[in-house]
Amino acid sequence: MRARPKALRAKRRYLLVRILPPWREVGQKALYLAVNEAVTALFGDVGAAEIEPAVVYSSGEYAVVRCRRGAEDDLVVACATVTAVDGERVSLRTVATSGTIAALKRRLERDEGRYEPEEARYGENGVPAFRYGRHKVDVLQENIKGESIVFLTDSEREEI
Amino acid sequence: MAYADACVHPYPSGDTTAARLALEARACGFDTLVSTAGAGEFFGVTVVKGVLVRGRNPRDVARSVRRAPEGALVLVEGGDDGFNRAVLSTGGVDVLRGMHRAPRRAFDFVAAKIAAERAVAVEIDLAPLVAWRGRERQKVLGRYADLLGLQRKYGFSFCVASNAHSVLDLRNVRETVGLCGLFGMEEAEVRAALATVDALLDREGPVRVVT
Repeated sequence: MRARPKALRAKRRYLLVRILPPWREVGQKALYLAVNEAVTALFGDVGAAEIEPAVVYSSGEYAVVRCRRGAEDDLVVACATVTAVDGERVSLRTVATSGTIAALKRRLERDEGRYEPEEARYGENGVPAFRYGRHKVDVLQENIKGESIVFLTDSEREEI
Repeated sequence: MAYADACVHPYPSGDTTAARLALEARACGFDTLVSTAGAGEFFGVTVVKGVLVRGRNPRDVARSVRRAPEGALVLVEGGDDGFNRAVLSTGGVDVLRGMHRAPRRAFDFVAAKIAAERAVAVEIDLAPLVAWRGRERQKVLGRYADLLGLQRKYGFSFCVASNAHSVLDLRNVRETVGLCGLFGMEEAEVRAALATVDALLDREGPVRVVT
């Protein structure tokens, strides 16, 4: 099928979202399903059809989410109600809105890529920890309920 | 304008320390946090002590409010209509919270008038709007819309709280404006509500004799 002429195409807007915690690996399809569920839960099927949410790009801690022009504020709110992707607790922070994917990808140059855990020692035990930004440290702990994360700053690592 | 998150729950209630919450809140556009555990100044963000008061009757609440440390923000969990009216009339109460959990008629025009006269703010809790789905969230949206109608008529203040137990529960100012817009709040109203905590902290108290 031939592409429509530019004047007849629906205008789109693209949101750059940051996935927190940034070391969590989130698949593009799982993210799409989570965003779609959030939009449908908040605005219903009719609203979701008007917003047309889709995840068009995902790399590391960033993703680009598409919507119809004029619906970007609704999509920001829907992204704010995403609390988990594929069963893992995450949060989506909207960083920027643009009319092109290329403009958002230029912001991705600061993406630090894949995070590798380092070992942090707490008393006798060594536990995996992720350090990012200037002061942020996320420590993974195993307890009777399974794995939990403790979010710290570098100055507090000794106190916990 | 200085924006404040009216209630967060750092470690040990939550999984994030007060300093880390402050660091993330700064990135979200806030410069004051009201914390139920810990206080201080972290990364340029002021973390103010908040005291959560839950009481079975107004007398319990009044006793707990009297014991609250000086300079702390006193947040009282609401109940039914009689309880709320009594709590709002109690001196020293800064914020009435939990109105989305209270019965439908718990905050009526009488309570709204008292809240406006006594300068007690009513908390808008973002956590149920973010985390809940379906009928439960619809009920919360309806309750907040009712409160907004009373607020516009009687002029008491709102304050907005994420009630975050984790950095993942914090939302930035733009998202807060959008979430409050779901029940009809205008952007200017949300920004005024985000600035309410500063006014509550600078509240004029009774004159004290210093010897």
